[in-house]
Amino acid sequence: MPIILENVSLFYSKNTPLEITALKDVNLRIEKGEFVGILGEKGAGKSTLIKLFNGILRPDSGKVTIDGLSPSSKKVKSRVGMVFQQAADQLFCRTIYDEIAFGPLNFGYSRKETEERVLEALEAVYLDRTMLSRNPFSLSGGEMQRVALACALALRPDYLVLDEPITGIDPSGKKEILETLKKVKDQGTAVITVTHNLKGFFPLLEKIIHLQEGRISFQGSRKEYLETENVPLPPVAAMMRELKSRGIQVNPAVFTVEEALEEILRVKSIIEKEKAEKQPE
Amino acid sequence: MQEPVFSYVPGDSFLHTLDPRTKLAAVMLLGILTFRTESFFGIGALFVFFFALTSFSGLPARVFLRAVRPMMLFIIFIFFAQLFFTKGHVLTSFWILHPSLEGLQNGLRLSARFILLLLFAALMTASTDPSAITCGIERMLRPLPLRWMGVNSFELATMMNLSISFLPILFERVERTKAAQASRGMYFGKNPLRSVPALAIPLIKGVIRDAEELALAMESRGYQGTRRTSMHELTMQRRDWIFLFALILFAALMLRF
Repeated sequence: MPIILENVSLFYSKNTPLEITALKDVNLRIEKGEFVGILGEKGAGKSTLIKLFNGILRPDSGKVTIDGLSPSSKKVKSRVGMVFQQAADQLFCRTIYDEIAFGPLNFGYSRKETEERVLEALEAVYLDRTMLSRNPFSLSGGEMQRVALACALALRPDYLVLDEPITGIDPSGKKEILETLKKVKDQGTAVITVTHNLKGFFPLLEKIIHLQEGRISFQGSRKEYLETENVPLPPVAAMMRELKSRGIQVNPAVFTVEEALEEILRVKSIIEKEKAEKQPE
Repeated sequence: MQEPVFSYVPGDSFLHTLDPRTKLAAVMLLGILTFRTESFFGIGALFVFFFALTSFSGLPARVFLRAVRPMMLFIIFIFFAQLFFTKGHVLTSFWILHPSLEGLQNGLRLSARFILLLLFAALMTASTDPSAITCGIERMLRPLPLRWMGVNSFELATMMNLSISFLPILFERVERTKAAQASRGMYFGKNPLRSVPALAIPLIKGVIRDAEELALAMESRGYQGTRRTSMHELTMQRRDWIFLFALILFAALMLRF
């Protein structure tokens, strides 16, 4: 069963002079096993949108169904794992083990089951077992983010929702988080992420939702997204679009540096061939 | 998010344009007056004075309701305590309670005084930018020999300003942490003892980190906790003196009769 939003609108400070429309008439459907990117400018409603996915926020109008459940159901929180941007805002235990075990214990799993889940989650985020007894506050920013990710994974969610998971993290930490997410997705969990980092995420995304002032301005596949005007593009795609606009006939729908290289080499060989044909001697 | 109890409502009324020092002095004077006035006529006059000022201010009534409402339980408690525990002419008796006429008078008087005090305070905070209030307090404290106690009025003013401007950030942080813990299956109502550390530890840690960063950033920009120029250069205008003079006259009349 997917996450379904039907005609969802949400306002902050409703019925006051400070009323803000955070989301307006949002319709979307996210299936299990999809890798979804939520893009948009600051204040477009991205973070508000993802808080609807596990019932932290409720819409003012419209309907949210999560896996066939109403957002008020307790089960929702165990099906939808959330990782927020500031990992430090949620860490409070004495050891990393306790931190990761916090979620499963809240849902009443036995100690044995909890331990199994903790080890599994730790392995999934590429952290060493020796870290389990360390204090979460002694970690670097990237490690904290990975522990927060492990906290969500320990609930074995069907949907994993992340808010800017690789912003402000060192390159090696980024790589590991992206690898973890890829692995999680391959195991059948939907990964839904808010991001500005198109360079890192674009090769992974299958579906893109672009928000503008609380409305969905684009929803579709990665390929369709690249053909859309006035949306932020990852650097590689932006370069290919620029090359095309300067008269070099490349296909701008590429997702990785490797693909771009291949495409440029292909066009180069065509140009060289044409040149050779023009000069018969 | 709910608006805080005493909050500033921007405007350009007569009250808004008064110097914060004038308003601080006025609130102090009116506070003294409120507790020196014994007669119901005097208290009534103060209420009339309050409504007259409010009509000048153009502030919505909800500002004042919000200021009084949280204290209402306390005020009602005081009223009943006075009503039942003051000796005097018993009005009527039921069970072990003997409300007296004097008690009724005392109760009414005391609760009216508390309400007046809250209303005047709300009038000041709603018509004055918080940073102007701290600036006013700083200017009023400046002549006092606070340095002997190891503080100076500038540091106090900075501390007050920072506390006020950090409140919304603190609330935001609480909301963020709450959301993060709720996502991990924590229910705040169900197990309060367990939820306290889950909220408090990230919060305190975050606040200390913010404070450290802020202190460094302020020092890097030359803050030394000594005399500095201010965003609000306070000058007493003619209308400030007129207002204060009128108020003192009013107070003298009230105390005389």
